[in-house]
Amino acid sequence: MNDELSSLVAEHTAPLMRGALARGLSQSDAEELVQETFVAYLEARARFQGRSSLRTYLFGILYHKAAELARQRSRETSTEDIEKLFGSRFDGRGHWLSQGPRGPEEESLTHALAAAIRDCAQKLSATQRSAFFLKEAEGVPSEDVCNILSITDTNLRVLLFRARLRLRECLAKAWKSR
Amino acid sequence: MMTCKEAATAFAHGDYTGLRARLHLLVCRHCRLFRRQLLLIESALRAEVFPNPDPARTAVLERAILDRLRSL
Repeated sequence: MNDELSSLVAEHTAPLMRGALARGLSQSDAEELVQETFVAYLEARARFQGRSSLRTYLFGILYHKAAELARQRSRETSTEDIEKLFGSRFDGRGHWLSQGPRGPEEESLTHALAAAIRDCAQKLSATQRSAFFLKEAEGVPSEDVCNILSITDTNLRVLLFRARLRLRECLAKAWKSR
Repeated sequence: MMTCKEAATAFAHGDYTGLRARLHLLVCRHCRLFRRQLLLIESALRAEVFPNPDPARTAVLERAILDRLRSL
């Protein structure tokens, strides 16, 4: 049992911490929720039926707890109408207006660009950050991401679509002001 | 041929490899830039926004979690 616990904790603590920080939690909140995640898993592990990977199951517990915490603190950020803004970049025939998209042209990730993207990512909602993290950084299949975040596949597509647009618009704005 | 809006919409949905959108890229530098920016953002998110947690702090946390789990 002790060995089992040790390997469970050794294998999943760092990814769960990364997931908690990716959602925008503070270091101390992240550490607290990761602890609570393991406790919740241990107390109810009979319910784990192996339909998803254990990692995915643990992310589900973690994000459920993070959502609860956010509800308690009611601090979800407001969102602007990013799709309307995106649509306004094109003319009636679907071509880019005037100069086209603005923003960095470098292919490499410079220090300044990384900082700008970090700033812009702070403006995403917790759910957008979580979806991006699970899908793009952890490589969790869409179906599991939907289960973890309690959203439909259509919601997930829209969420990621808006997140990409929002990040790009924010980055273009940040770049313009330099 | 796709319009810029259709191609950019496909890219913003994470579909970077569709044939029709790639054909459009051959003739549109604006969309090439738009696609490149989205790819750059995704790689930056992976590397910069979702970094691995500090190993020393993680080790301390792992010990705290184990202590707590063993006391249950």
